[in-house]
Amino acid sequence: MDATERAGTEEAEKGSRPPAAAVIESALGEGRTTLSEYESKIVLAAYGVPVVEERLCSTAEEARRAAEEIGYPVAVKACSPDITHKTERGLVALGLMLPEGVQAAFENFQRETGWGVSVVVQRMVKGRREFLAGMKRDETFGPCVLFGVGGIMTEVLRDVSFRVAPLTLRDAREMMSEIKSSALLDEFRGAVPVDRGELAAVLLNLGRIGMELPRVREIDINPLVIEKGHPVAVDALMVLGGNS
Amino acid sequence: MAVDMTRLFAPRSLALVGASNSFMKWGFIVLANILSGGYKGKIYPVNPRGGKILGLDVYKDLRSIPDEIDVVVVTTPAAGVPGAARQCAAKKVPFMITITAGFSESGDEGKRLEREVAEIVRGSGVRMVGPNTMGIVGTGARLCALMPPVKPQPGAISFVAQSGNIGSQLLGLGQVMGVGFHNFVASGNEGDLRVEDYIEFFGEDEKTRVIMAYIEGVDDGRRFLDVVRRITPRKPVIVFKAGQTRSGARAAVSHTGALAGSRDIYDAAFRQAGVIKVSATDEMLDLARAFAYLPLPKGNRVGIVTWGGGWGVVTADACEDAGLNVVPLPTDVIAKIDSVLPPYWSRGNPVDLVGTLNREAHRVALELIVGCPSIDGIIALGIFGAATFFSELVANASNLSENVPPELVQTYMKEIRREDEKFESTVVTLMDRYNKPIVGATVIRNPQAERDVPRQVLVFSTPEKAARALWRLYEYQRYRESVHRET
Repeated sequence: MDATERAGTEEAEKGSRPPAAAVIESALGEGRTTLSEYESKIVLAAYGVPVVEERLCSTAEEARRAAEEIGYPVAVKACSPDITHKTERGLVALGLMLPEGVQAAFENFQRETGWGVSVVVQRMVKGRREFLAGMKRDETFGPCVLFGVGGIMTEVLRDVSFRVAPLTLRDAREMMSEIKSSALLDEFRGAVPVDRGELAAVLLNLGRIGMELPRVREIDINPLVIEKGHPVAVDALMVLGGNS
Repeated sequence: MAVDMTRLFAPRSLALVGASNSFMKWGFIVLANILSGGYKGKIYPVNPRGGKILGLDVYKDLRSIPDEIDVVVVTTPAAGVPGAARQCAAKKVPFMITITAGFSESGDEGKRLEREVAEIVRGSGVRMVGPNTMGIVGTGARLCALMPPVKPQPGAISFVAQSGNIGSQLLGLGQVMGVGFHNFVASGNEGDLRVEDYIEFFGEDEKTRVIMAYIEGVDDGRRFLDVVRRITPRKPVIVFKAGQTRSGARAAVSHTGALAGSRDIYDAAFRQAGVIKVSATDEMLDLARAFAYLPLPKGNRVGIVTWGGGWGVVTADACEDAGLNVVPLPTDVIAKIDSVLPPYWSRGNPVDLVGTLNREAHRVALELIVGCPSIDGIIALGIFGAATFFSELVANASNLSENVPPELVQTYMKEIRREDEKFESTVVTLMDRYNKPIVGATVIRNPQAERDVPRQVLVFSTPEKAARALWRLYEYQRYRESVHRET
C-alpha cells in the first residue's frame, strides 16, 4: 500500500479530492439520498480512513490510462449513486491484468446500464480477511458505530458489535474483541495480525463523521479488507438524510 | 446538576388532592397506604367538599392549608390535574406526584392534556412525578405513597421503574427476599421528571448504595448515557431493560442499518455506561442485595466449600463458564483442613465436606478458605441456611415416630437455629475481616426463615446463580479499576 492511501486526510488537504462537506452539499443539492462509492470514499478519506487508490473515469481511454498509472491488476466498477447491488448486476470486474480487459469492462457496463455510466478503476487489494465497519443514527442514542465480519455473509453471520459515538480507544478495542470471530484479527493462516491501532482509528473516525456531519445517516464500509495487516476501505456506501 | 429530590422522598408535609372517603377510590386507597405505612410527616387531605377522611381534617383547596407543603399527591380525574398543578405553582410546592391516569398513554386528548400540565409545572418551578405513576416510597420518612399495599423494608437500594406493576412486584418480592429499599419511584409517563433524573439524584444521595432501574425506553439516550456513566465508577447501577427487539430498521439501505436493532444499541450504551444489565426480575434483586452488602472480590479466583461432591462439580463448572477461576489450594491449607475433616475429604478445591454433620468443622474449613491469600471470593454450598434442612429432618423424624417427645423436638429446633445464627455471624465476621465476598446456595429454601438472616448472608436457590453473582461482582470491580486507571 502506498502512503497516500493511508494518509487520506493529507490527500484531501492537498486538494486532489474535493472536501467532504462539498461532496455532501452537492449531492443534497441534486436531491440525492445516497453518495456514490467514489464520493463516499472522498468523505471517508477526508476523515483519515484509509481508502483504496482509485480514479473516477468517464471514458474507456481515461480508464485505460488510470489502470496504467495505478498498475495492474486492477478492478473496474460501475460508479453511480443510482446503482446499488453492483455485483449482482455484473457491474464489477476484478483482477484485470490487461488494457483490453479494462476496455471490455467499460463497454460491457455501458451496454448493461444503457447509459453513459462512469467507472472507478481501483488497485486490487490483496487480503482474504473482510470486515464491515459502519455508522448509523439511532433514534434514541444518535450516531452509533458498528464493527463486524464483512463480505457477502455479513447479514447471515450477524457477527457484529456496536458502540455509541463518540468512541474512546477502549470502546474501539472492546468492539474488536467482542465479535465471535475476533481470532480473525490475530495471526491468520500465515498472514500477519491486524494492526489494531489502525483499525481502532477507522472506528473512531466513523464516530467522528457521525458527530460532525449530521446529514450523513448511514455508512457502510464493506468490505474493509485487511492487506498485510492494514485495513483498507475497498467499497463504501453513504446514505444521506436526517437532521440538517 | 441533579434535581435535589430529598424533599420528594422525605417530605416534611404532604397534601393529597382528590382525597376521598369512598373505599374503592385511589384517593382513599393511597391515603390509607400512606397512613398505614406510618408516614412521619404531616398529612393534609384536600377535597372541595371538606369534612373528615380517615380521621383527618379535609381542606377545600391547597391555598387554605396553613402550612408549607413539600409534596402534593394528585388522584383527581384527569381534567382536574391542570387546576391542581396551578394550585401547586401558586403555593410554591416543590413536588407534585400525579397518580391520575388518562394522559399520553390514552390517546391524542390525553397527550394534549399532558403537555398542558407539563407546561404549567415547567414554568413554575414545580417538578412532577408521573402522570400515570403508581407513586413513590421513601423509607427514610416511612412514606409509602403507592397504589398497591406493599410496604418495603428500609435498605440501601434506590429503585426507579418505568412500570408501576413491575416496580411494585419487585418491592413485594423484595419483602420476601429480605431486600430493603431506600427510595422507590414509578416514573409513569415522565411528563416532567424522567428516569435519568431519578438515577442522577440517586447517584448523589448518600443513603443510596445501589441503584436499580427497570427501563422500557429512554427519551434522550445521550443524556441517559452521560448521567449513568458519571455514577457507575462510584455506585453500581443495575438495569433491567424490557421490550427488546433484535431486528434493525426494516427500511434500512445499508448493512449497518439493517444489523443495528434497538436492543444492540441499548446493550452497547449500557456497556459504555458501565451498567450491570440483568435479564430477570429475581436476578435484579439478588444482585442488588449482593452489591449493597458484599465486599467486591479483588480477583476472579474462587474457593468452593460444599457439603457434597456433585454440588462442587456443578459449581466448579458454573464458575469456569462464568469466567471465574477455581484455583488449587496451597498445601498448608490442605494440611489444616485435614485436621478437622474425615481422611477421605476431597483434599482440594472444591472442598468437599463429605456430608459431615459437625458444624464446627464447616466453620473451620470455611475460615481456612476465606483466609487463603490466593482466593478472592467464596461459594459455600449447603452450609448456609442449614437450619431449614435440619429442621425438616427433625420434623420428619417426629412425624414418623411416636417415640420422639415434642419437648425434644423443640430443643433440637432451637439448637439448630442457634447454630445457624452462630454460623451466619461467622460469615459476616469473616467477610469484614478479610474483605472478601462469601455467597451461598442451599437445598431447601424457606423465605420465612430467611427474613431473619442478616442481609450480608446471601443464599441463592442454585449454585449457578451464586457463581453468576460472584462473577458480576468481580466484573464490576474490574470495570471500576479500569475507569480509575484511565482518569
